[in-house]
Amino acid sequence: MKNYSTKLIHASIIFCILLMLIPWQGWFKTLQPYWLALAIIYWSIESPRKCGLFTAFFYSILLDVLYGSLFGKHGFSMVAMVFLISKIHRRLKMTSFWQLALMIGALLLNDAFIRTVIDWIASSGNGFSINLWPVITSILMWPWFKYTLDKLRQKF
Amino acid sequence: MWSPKNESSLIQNNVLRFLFLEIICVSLMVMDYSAKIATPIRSAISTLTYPLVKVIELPQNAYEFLTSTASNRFELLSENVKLKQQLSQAQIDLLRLEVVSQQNKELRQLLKAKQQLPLETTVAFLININTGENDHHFIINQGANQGVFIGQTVLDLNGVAGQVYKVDIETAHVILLTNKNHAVPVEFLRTGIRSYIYGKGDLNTLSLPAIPQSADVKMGDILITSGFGGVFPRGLKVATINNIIDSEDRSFRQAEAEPSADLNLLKQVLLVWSEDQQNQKTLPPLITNNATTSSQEDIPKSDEPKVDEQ
Repeated sequence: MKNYSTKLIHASIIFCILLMLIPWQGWFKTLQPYWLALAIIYWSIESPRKCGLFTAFFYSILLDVLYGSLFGKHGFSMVAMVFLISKIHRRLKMTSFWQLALMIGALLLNDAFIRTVIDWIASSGNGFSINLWPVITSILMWPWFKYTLDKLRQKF
Repeated sequence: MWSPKNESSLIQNNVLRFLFLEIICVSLMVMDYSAKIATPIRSAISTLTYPLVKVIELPQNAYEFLTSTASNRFELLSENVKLKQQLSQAQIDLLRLEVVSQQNKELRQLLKAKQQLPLETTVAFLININTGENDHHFIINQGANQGVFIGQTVLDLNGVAGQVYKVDIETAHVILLTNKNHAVPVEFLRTGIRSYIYGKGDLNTLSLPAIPQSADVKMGDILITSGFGGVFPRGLKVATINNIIDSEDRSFRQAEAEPSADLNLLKQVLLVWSEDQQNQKTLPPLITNNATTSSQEDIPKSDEPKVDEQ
């Protein structure tokens, strides 16, 4: 078993949070992938002991504070996602590249759905609108994202 | 090292951790409704996130600095001329207002009405970072360290822009009045009718969903804050009516209004510190139909109404 650098894990996650903070305008804003989730998914598949539930919880709470969203909204959905990954972790490691991308799409969809339900409850039942664009762009970004991190991991 | 036994213990631990963290998340969400509990937690965590905000802000500031140093002399000169014109216009307006405010003061003394205190404001600048799915929402560069509080009124130079709704240590989140979940208690400046104005999720329109059919409403009517609810101080300009629709059964009317503040071009905002905001609930309501409340800012603080009883 390779000993991945903990620093690389945290650096890549923080870099992803920074990517999410870039103030795009118009369509770019709507299309912005959910970078943080991609990083957390990648690391919780590759090294589940170093990037587990607590790491996911910690960084998504940071995102909640940065976005000013309901406290614990991103945390709730992200913890659920990492838990699901830990359940099917071995299977995820075995699947082919494209199947993995599909499964990640399903996980992200679930995540977006949880957050929409939280928003819906928090706004006392008005405005149930789910934004699927970030899910789609995140799946499209996944191959490049995985490739880059694989390369980086070999170096560090 | 990986082994089947190790794996199963990992999963079992994970179930407990999962439940523990989800319970924490749910309790955080519930606590978020109370400003007293949530603000300290947010402030504490935002000491960690503030460097990230700075990192995003830095290249933008550098770009602005470069463009301002690179802009040529001619542009600066023409801008200077424009600003001078604006200033002279503003000074003329101020002269006129001084007379009006003096009259207002005298009238209030005659009516033995309470003098309105001037509004104290501080300038805050917007931080341009992404705020996720929260629409009509921005971040300013003042926070708990500067004494910003939840519910504080945020103004543009032309009118009400919104209110503070989350406070971090050096930053604060402001919700615009055009947000779908935002409402402002307002009053028609001309007639004194009170109503609520709601955001629609569109930067250029606000809606008044239910105005009684008997009410006198015209196009171009100006809406000011009524001071009800104690969040917004009274007498700040909010919007101008630009569309009136009768409901199908003609039982009530709906209206649309255009916000006075330039919400598309916000760069700096004013935070309002009004002393009587806290006592407003306990005081008797001020005289209604007072058409000159918008000039309240010009009344000096020291002049308390003390009419001799003779």
